[in-house]
Amino acid sequence: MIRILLVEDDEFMQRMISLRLRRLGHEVDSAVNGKEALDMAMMGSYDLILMDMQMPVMDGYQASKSLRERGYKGQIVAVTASAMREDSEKAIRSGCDSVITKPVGVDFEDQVKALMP
Amino acid sequence: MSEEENFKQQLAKLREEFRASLTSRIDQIVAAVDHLAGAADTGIEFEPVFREIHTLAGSAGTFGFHRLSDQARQLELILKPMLNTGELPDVKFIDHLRSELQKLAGLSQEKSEPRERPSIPLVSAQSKERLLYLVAGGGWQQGVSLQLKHNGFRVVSFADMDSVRTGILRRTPRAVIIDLELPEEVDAAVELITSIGRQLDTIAPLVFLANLGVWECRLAAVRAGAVGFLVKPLDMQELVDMLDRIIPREQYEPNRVLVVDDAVDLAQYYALVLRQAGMQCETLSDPSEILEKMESFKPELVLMDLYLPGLSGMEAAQVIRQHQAYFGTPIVFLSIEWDQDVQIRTLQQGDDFLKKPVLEEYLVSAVDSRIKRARALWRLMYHDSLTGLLNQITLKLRLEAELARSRRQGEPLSFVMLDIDRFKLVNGSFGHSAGDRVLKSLARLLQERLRLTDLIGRYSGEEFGVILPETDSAAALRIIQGIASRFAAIRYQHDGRNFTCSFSAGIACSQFFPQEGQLINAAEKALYQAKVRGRDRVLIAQDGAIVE
Repeated sequence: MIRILLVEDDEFMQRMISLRLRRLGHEVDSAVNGKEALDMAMMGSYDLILMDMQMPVMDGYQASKSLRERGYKGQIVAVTASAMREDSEKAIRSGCDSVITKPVGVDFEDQVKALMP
Repeated sequence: MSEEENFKQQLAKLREEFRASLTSRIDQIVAAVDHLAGAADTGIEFEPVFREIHTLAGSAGTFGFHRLSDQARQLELILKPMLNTGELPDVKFIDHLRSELQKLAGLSQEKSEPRERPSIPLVSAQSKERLLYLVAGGGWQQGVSLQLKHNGFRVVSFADMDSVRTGILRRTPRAVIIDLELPEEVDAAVELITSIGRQLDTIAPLVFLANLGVWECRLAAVRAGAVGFLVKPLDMQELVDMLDRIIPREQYEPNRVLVVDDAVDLAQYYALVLRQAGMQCETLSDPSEILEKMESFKPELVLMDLYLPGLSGMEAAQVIRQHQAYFGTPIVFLSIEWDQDVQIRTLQQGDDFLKKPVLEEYLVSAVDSRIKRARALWRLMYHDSLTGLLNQITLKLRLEAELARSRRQGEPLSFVMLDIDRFKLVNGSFGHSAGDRVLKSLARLLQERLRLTDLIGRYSGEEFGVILPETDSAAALRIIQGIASRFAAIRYQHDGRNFTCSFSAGIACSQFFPQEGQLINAAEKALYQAKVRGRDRVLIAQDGAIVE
């Protein structure tokens, strides 16, 4: 069991992913934009952050970059609806450790499991 | 109700809720588009529209609305270039957008298919790094791993197939090396190899190290996805050479194309088609800016309309060709021109002629194949064929340019001359193929350890030259000494005999030797001193003295 911070502005995506992760016994907290995620990540002790990239207020790129600038050492996984290479690279440059591409597939649970610290 | 059923029911409920939300969701996007149309020039509200469509593409696919997801994705691809350029859509485009969105709304009523597609594999950081997974038993593993590390690979060892499988899921390496103890009996050996292939099921190339080299096993290995099969006892250098072949050192670099067309929408269209094919593309509508654009963007190919305002495409091509640096850059003309005379005259300046309207696939393949050829030519002209490093002439030209730049920026630059110690002895006692391996491995090590901005050339024979921009001699000394100790740790094997090599190096810095000739001279002198003082050392040339 690990603690996951799910940053996702789409309500349905957020509910679905939480549902799937909680079923595996993980503890899932949610934030709806990068700004919320920043505060929560710095306060809480998460094992993994799943971060959507396109969000209002503060997007995932900015949030990841800010987290790294503030010395956040934990794992950040970009969950992006873009399959374009340049966007994956941008996510990595912003400080994410890896990228999962939406649509989230049947093997999402395996992907998260593989990324668990 | 079982927990599993409960979960499935919850998911299904969620999917229906999502479907119910789609109509209002798309309506909201349409409203935002309407708003965009009203806002005309003042509008900065384009980004939310893009974001909503992007999000929709991701969510819809996740919930099984694949057609809707694909359509939204296509819209996203069309919108994205506009977002980047900050250009606002015109009325016609907005109308088009509206009708596309209505289609999306229609698709939301389709049945969602819970049969989900598997997701796209993980992309991870530091993909530049040459990561290898090694599955090997016994104490043997440590030695191989160490040798590979000395050769510039990053190696992660695994004890068995299960753990390497998890490792692959977590991050795909550039290759997986599997040490096999095959049973003597061929059928059983084949069965083992086949099962491993099935078990791993990875896109990473597999290399098998086996105790049995019979044909049946090799064939089974190929079928299991292996690109390499080496029979033990292992020749380390053979393995390294093989890995070099299967793992390209160069990073994938997208083609860079400049599109010149006075019709902005056409230029955008071509750019879009090429971008979708993974190329980097910039557009230019005013041909008088072409040289500035060539300088800043450094395109590998120019796609140009034959008729441009103010001057013809031919004249523009002449202007480009006058510059030596762009002499090899392919120029492809686009035109509705049918006149053969014009075509022939055009081809004296350009390289090809595409007739408008051009099919998308044809455009992509025409551009791609020309860039591939240009790159191959470029490599032949400027690189040393054995090591792939720059050749001497190119290195000297680059040194001149880099020195000029370091003067402008007021940053020191260091130049290093490197020479493999007693190289003739290697050639003499082990043969030239062994010598070539040593040269290649030093070239590889230099490429791995130095920055992308550093320039490395094979100077002559066993002599190498390295340009380190923005580096003073003290930093250069640290870097080169680090490489020297790694190089000395590489064990070469030839005909069952082991040997190691070392190199000597001389460093000169532009702070003391501002002119190109002086700089090379000083580095050579320092190298010579390093040889005289017993080899296997790095010396710095400083105003009249050579120091360690």
